[in-house]
Amino acid sequence: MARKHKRPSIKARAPARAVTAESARDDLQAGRFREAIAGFKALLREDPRDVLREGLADAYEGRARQLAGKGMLKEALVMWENRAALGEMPRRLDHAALLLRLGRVGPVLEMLGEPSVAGDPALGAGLASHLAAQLLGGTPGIAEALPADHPVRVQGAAAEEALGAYCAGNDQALAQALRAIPFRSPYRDLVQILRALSRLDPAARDPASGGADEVRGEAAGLLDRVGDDSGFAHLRDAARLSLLPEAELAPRLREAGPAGRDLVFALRGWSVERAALWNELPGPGERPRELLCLMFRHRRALGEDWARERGLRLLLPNLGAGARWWLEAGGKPLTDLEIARLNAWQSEAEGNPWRVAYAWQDYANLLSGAGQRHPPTGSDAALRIALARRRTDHLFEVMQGSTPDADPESLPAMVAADLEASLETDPDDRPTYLSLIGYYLRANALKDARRILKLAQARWPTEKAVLTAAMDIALAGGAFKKAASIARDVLAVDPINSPVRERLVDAHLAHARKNLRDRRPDLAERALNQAEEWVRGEVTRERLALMRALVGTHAGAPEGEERLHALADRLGRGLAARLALLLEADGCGVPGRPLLERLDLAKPPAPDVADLRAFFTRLRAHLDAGAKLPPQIGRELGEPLKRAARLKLDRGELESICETLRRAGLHAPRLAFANAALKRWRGEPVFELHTFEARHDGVAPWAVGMPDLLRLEKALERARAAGDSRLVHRLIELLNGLAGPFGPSPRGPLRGGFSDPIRERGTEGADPAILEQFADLIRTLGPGGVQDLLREPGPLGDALRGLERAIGKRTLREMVDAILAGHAVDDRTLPDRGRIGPKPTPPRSRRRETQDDDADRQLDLFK
Amino acid sequence: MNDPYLILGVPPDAEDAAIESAYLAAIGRSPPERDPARFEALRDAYEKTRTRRDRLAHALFDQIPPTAADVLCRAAPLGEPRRPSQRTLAALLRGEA
Repeated sequence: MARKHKRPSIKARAPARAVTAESARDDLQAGRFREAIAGFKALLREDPRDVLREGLADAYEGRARQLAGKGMLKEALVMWENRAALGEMPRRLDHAALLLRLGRVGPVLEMLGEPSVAGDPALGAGLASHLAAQLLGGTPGIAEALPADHPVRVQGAAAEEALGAYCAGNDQALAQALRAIPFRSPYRDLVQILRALSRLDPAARDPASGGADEVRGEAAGLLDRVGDDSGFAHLRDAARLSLLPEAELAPRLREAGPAGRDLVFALRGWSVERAALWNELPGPGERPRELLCLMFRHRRALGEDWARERGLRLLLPNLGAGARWWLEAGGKPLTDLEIARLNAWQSEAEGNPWRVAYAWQDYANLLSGAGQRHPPTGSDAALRIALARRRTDHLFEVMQGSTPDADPESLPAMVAADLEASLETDPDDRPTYLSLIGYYLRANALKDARRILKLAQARWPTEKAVLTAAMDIALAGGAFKKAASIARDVLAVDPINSPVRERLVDAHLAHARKNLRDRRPDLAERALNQAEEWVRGEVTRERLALMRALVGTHAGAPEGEERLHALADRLGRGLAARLALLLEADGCGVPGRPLLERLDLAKPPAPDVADLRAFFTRLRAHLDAGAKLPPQIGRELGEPLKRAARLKLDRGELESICETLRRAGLHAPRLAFANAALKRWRGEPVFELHTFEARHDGVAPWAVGMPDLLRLEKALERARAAGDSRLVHRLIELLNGLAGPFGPSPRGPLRGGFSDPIRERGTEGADPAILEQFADLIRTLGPGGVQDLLREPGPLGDALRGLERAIGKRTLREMVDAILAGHAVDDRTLPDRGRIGPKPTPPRSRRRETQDDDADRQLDLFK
Repeated sequence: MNDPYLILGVPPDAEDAAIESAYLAAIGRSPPERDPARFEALRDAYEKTRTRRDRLAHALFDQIPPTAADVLCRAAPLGEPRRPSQRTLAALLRGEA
C-alpha cells in the first residue's frame, strides 16, 4: 500500500544558504511567506532587533491571509496568534474577522477595548462592522458582551427588522427599518446591500424604472459602496454574483459556497430542480459528450424530441467520435433522415458547394421517397424538401449573377434545376421564381424565363416584382409595346417606382431605335413621344434629344441637322460628345463616321482632363447598363484616347481608367495609359497587370515571352507583399490561364510559386483537349522531331525547352516515349504539375465518386 | 442561450400568433434603449421563428449546439425571483460564503 508522502518542513527543504535580512525580505516581498518566516526566525535568534521582528510579523500576517484564502481558518489563526505573540504589534481587522468567523468573540471584544484600537477610528469602525454582521448572523455572545449603549447593540434591532422585512418581502417595513439606521452606523453597509437586493426584485420595482441592464447597473453601484474590509463583504460578494449575466454566472457559481449559491438561486428565480440539474452539468467549457449524456439522462424533463434534436448538434464537428457518444449515452440509432441531415451539415462546414448540393439533394430525395412520392403540398415534409433544395443557392448565392452556360451539369445548372424542383413542393416562394427568371434572362433563355413567369403570374398576377419581371422578359424579347403596357400596370400600383420608369423609357427608346433602323422615322418619333411622357432626369432627356435629332436627320428635315449641331456644341464637341453621338447613332443604325463629318467632328480631338473625365463617366454608365462598346466606336475613338494618356492624372484615376478600358475592350489605349502610369510608378503591380493583358490580348499563351512572364511574377510578389489580395488573385488567375499544355508555365525557381491558397485544393491543371493536341504533335514529330523542335527558335520551341528545364531531360524523354508508346495523356504520363489552377468541374459520375466519404463511413457507426 | 423558442419563452410547436405576441411582450419588457443585449437576442430569435417556413428552416439548417443554459431553461425554466431565506443571509453574514 502506498504511503502518503509527507511534505518535508521548510527547514528541511531550504537549501543550505546563508540567510540575510535582505533574502528574508525578498521572500516576504515575493509572497514566499514560509521561507520568510523561517528566515526572520533564524535571524532573530542571533540578533533580536525590532526591524527583524516587524519583518517576521509581516511574514506571519501574509501567511495568515494566504491560509485563510485557502479556507484553512484554524491554521490562519495560529499565524495571527504567532504574530500577536511577538509583542506590541498593530491590530489587524482580518485577525478580528477570523476570530469572529471561528466564533471566538471574547478576544475581539478585548481588542475593542485596547487603546491602540480606540485611537484608530477606522479600525474601530471596521471592528464594529464585523461585530454587527456577526450579531445579525446569529453568532452568540456578542450582544451580551457589548455595553448597552454600543451602536452595534442599539441599532441591531432596526437592522434585524430590515433583514426580516426584506426576506419576508415586506418592502414598506424594510424602507421604514432602513430609515431608522443612521448614516454613521456599523450597519450602513447592510443598508446599501438591502437597497441593492430589493432593486433586483421585479415585484418591488417601480414599473417605470429602467430595464434589467439599468437595474443591474444601479444595484452594482450600491454594492460598490461596500468596502472589502466591511463585515458585510461576504454578503456583498454573493449579491454581486447574482448580477452577472447568464453566461458568466455558471462558471462563477461553482466558486461560490452553498450560502452564496442559495442567494443567487433565490434572486435569479432558480427552482430546486434547476439547481439540482445545474449541479450535474459538466464543468467549464461545456464538453459536448458530457452535455449529451446529461441530456439523455434527463430526456423526460427535456422532452424526448427536444433532447434528440438538439443532441444531434453536439455530434458536430467530429462525427466519428460523436457516433460513439451517441450510442454510449443511450441514444437510439439514428434514422436515415437524421444521418442525411448530419451529412449535409458536415458538408456545409467543408464549404464545397457541390458537396452541399448533393448532400441536401440526398436529404430531399430521402424525404420524398427517392422522388417516387411527393408529400402533399403545404405539408411540413413538402416544405422541408423545398428548403433543402434551395439550400445551396441560399448559402452560395449561385443564382445571383450566374449565367447559364452550355454545360447542363454545371453548378448553376444543377442549382437552377434544384430551385425549379423546389417549386413543385413549395410553389408559394416568390423569391425563387424571381431568382430563376433573372438567371434565365441573363442568358437570354426567354423560353425558360417565360415558363417560370407563367407559373409566378398564376399566383401573383398583380404583384409588383412579378410584373417587373414580366416587363423585363418583354423587353428582352423586343416586345416594347407589351413592356410599356406592363410598366404602366406597375406604375399604377407603385407610382414612384423609378427603376420601372427608367426601364419603360429605355423600352421606348429601344423601340424608337428599332423603328429608325427599319427606316420608319414616323414610328420612331411616336415611340420617342411615348418615352417623353415618362422621362425624369437630365441624362435621359439628353439621350432623348439626341435621338430626336437623329430621327430628324433621318427624315431629311433641316431642323434635325441644326439640332444635332446644337447638341454637339452643348456636349462640348470633345471626346465625350463624340462618344454620346456615336453610341446613339450606332443604336439607331446611323453610320458614325459620316455623322461626325457632317457635324465637323471628323478631326480627332485632343481631350483635356475635364473632357476625358466626362468621356469615362459616359463610358462607365454605358457599360454599367450591361451594354458593350461597338468595335467601330472603339476604332473611331482609340487614337485620341491613346494621345490622352499623356495627361497628368492621379493614380486612382488611372487605375479606374485602365479598368474601364479593359471592360470596353479598348486594349491599345489601355496599354498607353498603363505604360504612362508605369513611367511614374515603376513596377506598380496593377499597371503591370494592365500592361501585360493589353499587350497580349489575343496572343496565344505559348507565344508570351519569358521577360513579360517574369515581370508579371514580380508584380505578383509585390502585390503579395503589399497585401493586395484582390490583385494577387487576379494575377494568379492570369498566370494560371497562361499555363500551357504542360500545366503551369515552367519558370525555374518560381515554378508553382503562384499557388492560390483559396484554390489550394485544386491540383489538376491543363485542359485535356490541349494535352491531347500536344500529344498529337509529339506523335506527328516522332522522337527525332521533338529533339529538333527543342533546338528550334519560336514559341513552341521556347515552351518545350522551358518544360525540359523544369522537369529535366530524362522525365521529358520518358513522357515523350510514353506518348509515342500509345499511352493516354493523363496524369500518369505527365510529371507532377504542382498545385496550380482551379479544379475543373469533374463529370457528374466522378463528382459523386470523389466526394469525401469519410462522413458516410463515420455515420455507419450509428447504425 | 441559443434556442430561439427558449429565448422567446414559447413551446417549439408554437404558431405564428403565439410567437408574435410573446415577442411583442418580451420587447415591451426589454426595449432596446434599456436592455440592448436582450432586445437583440429577442429580435434574432423572432426572425428565426417568425413564420412556419422560418421555423422549418431553423429546424433543418441550424447547427448551433445547445448550451448548458439551454438545457437548464428547457428542463427547469427560470421562475420569478424570490427573496432569500433569513438563514441564507445569516450564513453569509457569518462569513460562510
